[in-house]
Amino acid sequence: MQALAGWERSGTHAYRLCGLKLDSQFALPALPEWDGPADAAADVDCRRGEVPSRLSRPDYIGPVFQTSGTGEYLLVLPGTGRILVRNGNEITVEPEAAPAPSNLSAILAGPIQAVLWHQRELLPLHASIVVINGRAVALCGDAAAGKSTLAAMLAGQGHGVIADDICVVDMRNDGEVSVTPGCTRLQLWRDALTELGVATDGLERALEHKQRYFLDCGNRLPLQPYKLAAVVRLVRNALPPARLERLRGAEAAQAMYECVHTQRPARALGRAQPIFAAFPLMTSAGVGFWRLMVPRDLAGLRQAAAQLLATMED
Amino acid sequence: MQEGSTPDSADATSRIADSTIISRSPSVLTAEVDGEVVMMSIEQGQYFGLDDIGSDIWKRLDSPCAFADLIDRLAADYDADRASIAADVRALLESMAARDVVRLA
Amino acid sequence: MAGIWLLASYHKSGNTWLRVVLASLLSGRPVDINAMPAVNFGASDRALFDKALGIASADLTIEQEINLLPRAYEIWAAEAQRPIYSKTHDAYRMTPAGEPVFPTTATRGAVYVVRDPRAVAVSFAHHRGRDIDDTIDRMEDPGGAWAPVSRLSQQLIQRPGHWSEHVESWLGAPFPVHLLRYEDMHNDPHSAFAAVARFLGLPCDSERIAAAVEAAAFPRLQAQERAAGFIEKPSRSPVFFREGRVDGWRQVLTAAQATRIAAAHGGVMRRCNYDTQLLPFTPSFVA
Repeated sequence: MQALAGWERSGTHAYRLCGLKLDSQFALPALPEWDGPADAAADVDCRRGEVPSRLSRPDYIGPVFQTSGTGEYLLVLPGTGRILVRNGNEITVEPEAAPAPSNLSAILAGPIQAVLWHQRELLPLHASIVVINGRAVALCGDAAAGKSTLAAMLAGQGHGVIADDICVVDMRNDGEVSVTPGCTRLQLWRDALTELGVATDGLERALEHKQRYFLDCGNRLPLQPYKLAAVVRLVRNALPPARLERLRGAEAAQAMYECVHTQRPARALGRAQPIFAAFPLMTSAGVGFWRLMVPRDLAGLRQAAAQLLATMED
Repeated sequence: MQEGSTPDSADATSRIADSTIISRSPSVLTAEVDGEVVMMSIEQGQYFGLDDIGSDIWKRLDSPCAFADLIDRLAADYDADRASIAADVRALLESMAARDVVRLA
Repeated sequence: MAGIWLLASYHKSGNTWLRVVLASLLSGRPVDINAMPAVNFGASDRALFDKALGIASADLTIEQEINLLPRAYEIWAAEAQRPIYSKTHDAYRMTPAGEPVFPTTATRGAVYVVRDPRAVAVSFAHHRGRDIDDTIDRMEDPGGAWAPVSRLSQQLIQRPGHWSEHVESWLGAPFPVHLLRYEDMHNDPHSAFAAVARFLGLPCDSERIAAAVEAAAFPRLQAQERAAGFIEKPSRSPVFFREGRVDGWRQVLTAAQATRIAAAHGGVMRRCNYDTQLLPFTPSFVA
């Protein structure tokens, strides 16, 4: 029990992690503060501690992460530190420098959170979620596809944003596919904010070393699970005009698979089969799969938003 | 056969002879969605969809069999000449083998 | 191991032209410039990097990102089912941790496309939407501190840097490098691309080369761009396939600009067989 020696509750933050309580010794500004009972037991603990440089029995060894079985994941990232995630409820961090490296909290709230969900046997998609007419629409896509920017534009038109970067899909109830609100503030880069006409003055930085900011879109929605209506894969930098295309069969399955957050660690953690099985479950629960071709400029983004609304509001 | 992503161009001379034994790859996962068989090779992370005929061929591979036997059985059930069935099925199996959906021995 | 063939060049030096020809050679048919998957493997593609390493490069510092590039190359090379043809504008350079960005073990070789820097200056100025003097400055800038990152590009950070250093870095790389002059692609495309095909071990029979060259003829690329646009065109420049001329710069640069480029890059220009004495057609006092 190496953790007992350095056990210190003081300075612990409590966050709401898609309905779970996360206690953390590190500030995680991407996550909403815990608003449930103060004495609730933590579902997930994130604390400082010693972390080995390798796992004792790794099944997968990559350049930055290793896994062992389904319950152990180790990130070794020079310049930031080492992070061990175990059994979906325990995150141990040995930062490389004091004070904590500038991107530690972003990595904890991003890929580490996603690994946690994989270990908890839920399905994190790389997506922001916008609620249109009470139905959740997951805006998925690769890095730089414009997920958050499109979400911000839809928020500007009055639609609620309930998650950014990670969309946790829950299929544990038979025949139901739901998503739970996560990071309700969007993370946007300065150039995207400028394009949307939002000044960065007064916005909190999401990364110290890059010009990425938190944007609170307002439009508060109740923090409850929402039925997932659609998974929309954004393809940025398409030729105009913007187009929304329904996907079926293998194409839809592939689109969903490409949208899985931290897919390689997920595969290493033995999640390939459940991820595959998720697709027919989602289809039979009525989730629609789409591809949204988004031209690069602001006009193209507007067009894409309008097409999406016209289809999803039906 | 449709694929979830655009394939690169690939030309290879056929590795399939009449005596080649065709078997389902142990690393393949399959599911039926909207009447279509959707499959994925775990190792490659690629999905494939099979149309009706492809799905039928897949069902006939529930136990490994020689290419010539497979073609005989198909020729008995489909209204096409054996040579063109063989050519189409060979091409399908080649691309399935390239994606580790079936194995050739 | 299938390995990676790098298609390396400074900006606006004919890399896209080379890729269109290669795409056509590989597929054996004319190519849609907006759909060239066989030669559009982006070794600088952020999403591919993130997927290979299982982490979000957006969160990383620039140093971390560059230090991990060799690891991404190794994964791509190890997992490729067939050779990868990957475009890069990066110089052949070292990571902050001190190893080559392009690992020798993952790289089969490079085709390096070089173009007269005076023509590059004109074309690159159009591409950047900046004036020529500013662009000449840029071509002499080895690149010091990194500018603050204010956007998430689909491309990872690339640093072409100083033009001469770019050329020299690639010609000194520790794997086979085939030097391809833009001017040779222009004047005798058949021989130039046949040599590339031989270097890459691709079919180089006369008919296939001729068909690929024909499919990638400059007016055809322009026509495709006019009809459908080009996804690789930067939004700040009106067209991508602009002139494709060898000596167009002689009508655009001033004598002072031409002289300045020759003074800064003369050694490498001579090494690549460019006449440093050549001056613009129009004397600068008239312009």
